[in-house]
Amino acid sequence: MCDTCGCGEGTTTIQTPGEAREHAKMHAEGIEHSHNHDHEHDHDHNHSHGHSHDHGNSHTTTIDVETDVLRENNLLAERNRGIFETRKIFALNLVSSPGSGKTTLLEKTVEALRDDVSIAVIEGDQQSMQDADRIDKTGVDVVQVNTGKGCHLDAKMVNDAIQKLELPDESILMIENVGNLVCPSLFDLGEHHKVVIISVTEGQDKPVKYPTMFAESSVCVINKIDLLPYVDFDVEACKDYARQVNPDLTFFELSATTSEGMDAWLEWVKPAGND
Amino acid sequence: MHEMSIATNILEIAEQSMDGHDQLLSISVEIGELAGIEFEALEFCFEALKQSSRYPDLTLDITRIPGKGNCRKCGVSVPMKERFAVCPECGGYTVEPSQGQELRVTSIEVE
Ligand SMILES: Nc1nc2c(ncn2[C@@H]2O[C@H](COP(=O)(O)OP(=O)(O)OP(=O)(O)O)[C@@H](O)[C@H]2O)c(=O)[nH]1
Ligand SMILES: [Zn+2]
Ligand SMILES: [Zn+2]
Ligand SMILES: [Zn+2]
Repeated sequence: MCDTCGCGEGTTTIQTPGEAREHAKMHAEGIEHSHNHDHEHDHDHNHSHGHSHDHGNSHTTTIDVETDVLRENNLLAERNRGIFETRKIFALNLVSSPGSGKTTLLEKTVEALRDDVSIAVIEGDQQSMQDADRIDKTGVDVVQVNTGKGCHLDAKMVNDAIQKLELPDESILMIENVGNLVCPSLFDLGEHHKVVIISVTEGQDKPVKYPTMFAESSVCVINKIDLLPYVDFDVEACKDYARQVNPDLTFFELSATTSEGMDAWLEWVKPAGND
Repeated sequence: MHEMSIATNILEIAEQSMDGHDQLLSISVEIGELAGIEFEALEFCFEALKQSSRYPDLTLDITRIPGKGNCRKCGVSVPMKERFAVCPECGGYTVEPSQGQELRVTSIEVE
C-alpha cells in the first residue's frame, strides 16, 4: 500500500521534495520499490492498571481509565518543546483559513532572513507537494507532511518531521499548519507561538466567528493590505474583535506580495528581536 | 474534522487499558461542552472507526459536561454555551471557563 501514489488508506506521509521526485521517477519508470510508511505505533504505552470490579452475574469487568484523550499529543508536544529549548530553536506555528497567504509569507520571510539565520520549514497540507516545492525553491530545508484526511498537524507529525530535517542549533523553524481555523487550535505542537493569519478579503469579524484560534495565538498577521482600497474591511474593527477574545495579541499589518509592512514582522521573527 | 483523530485516540487509550482482557464492550468518556468537540461528528467518526476495528459491537458512552464560568470583572458565575461567552451582568468577554473543557476516557467495560 502506498499513500504517495494514492493506493493506500489516507494515512500521514512525511517527505522532502527530493524524495518525492525520486519516488515519482520510480513509478514513471516502473522500478520496483518499497514504501516507507510512518506507522504510528511507537507510543509510550500508558497501561492504567486501575481497580477493576465485576458487575453482578454478567462476565463483564469495568476498568477505570481516567486518561486525558489528548495525553499522547501533549506528551509529544512537551518532547518537541524540550528539543526546541535545549537547541535554541525558535518554532512558529502558522495557522489560518485556506488561502490567506501563509506560503507566500513564508517564502518572503525565508528569503529575507536566510542569510542571517538558519531556517527550516515544515509544510502541512492534506495532499500534494505544492507548498514544499515552493519553499524548496528558496533553498532552505523543507519537509512536507501530508495528513490525508486529517485537517491539522499533531505533535507526532512534527516530531517525525524534525528528525528528517536535522535542524541546526539556534535556528528558526516555521510550521505551516493545514489551512483550517478550527482543528489546529486543539493540538499543541510544542511551538513557541501560534501565528494566526487573516487576509483582508475574509471579513473583519473572523476573530469572533473562530475565537479559539485567535485566543490560542499570540500573534495576528493581517495580510493582503495592498487590497484594502478594493475591499470592505475595517482593520481597526478586526483588531477590536480579535482583542475581545485575546487582549494580548500582537498585530502585524502587511502585504506578503508587495512587502509593505514586512520589516516589523521580520524584526519580530528574528530570534534576537524576540525575548 | 479533528473528531476523527479524537475518536482514534479514544479507541487507542481504551485498547491500551484492557489489561489482558480480549473483548472491549464499551468505552465511557466525559466531554465538556466547551472542549471544541462536535458531539454528532464524534459519534459518526466513532461508528466508522469501530466497523474496521476488532470490536464491531463496541459502544461509546458519552457524558456531556455543561459549560460554566466565572466573570473576571464582576465575579458572577454563569452557565456557558460557548467558549467565548459575553457576561450577562457586565457585557464583557471576560468569562473564564471553570467547567466544560473536559476530554477524558473515564472507564471501559471488558470481558
Ligand atoms: N494581493 C495579495 N495577494 C496575496 C498576498 N499574499 C498571498 N496572496 C495570494 O493569495 C493566494 C493564496 O496564497 P498562499 O500563500 O498560497 O496561501 P496559503 O495560506 O498558503 O494557502 P493554503 O496553503 O492553501 O492554505 C495566492 O494567489 C497568493 O498570491 C498579499 O499580500 N496580497
Ligand atoms: Zn508508490
Ligand atoms: Zn477537523
Ligand atoms: Zn461580568
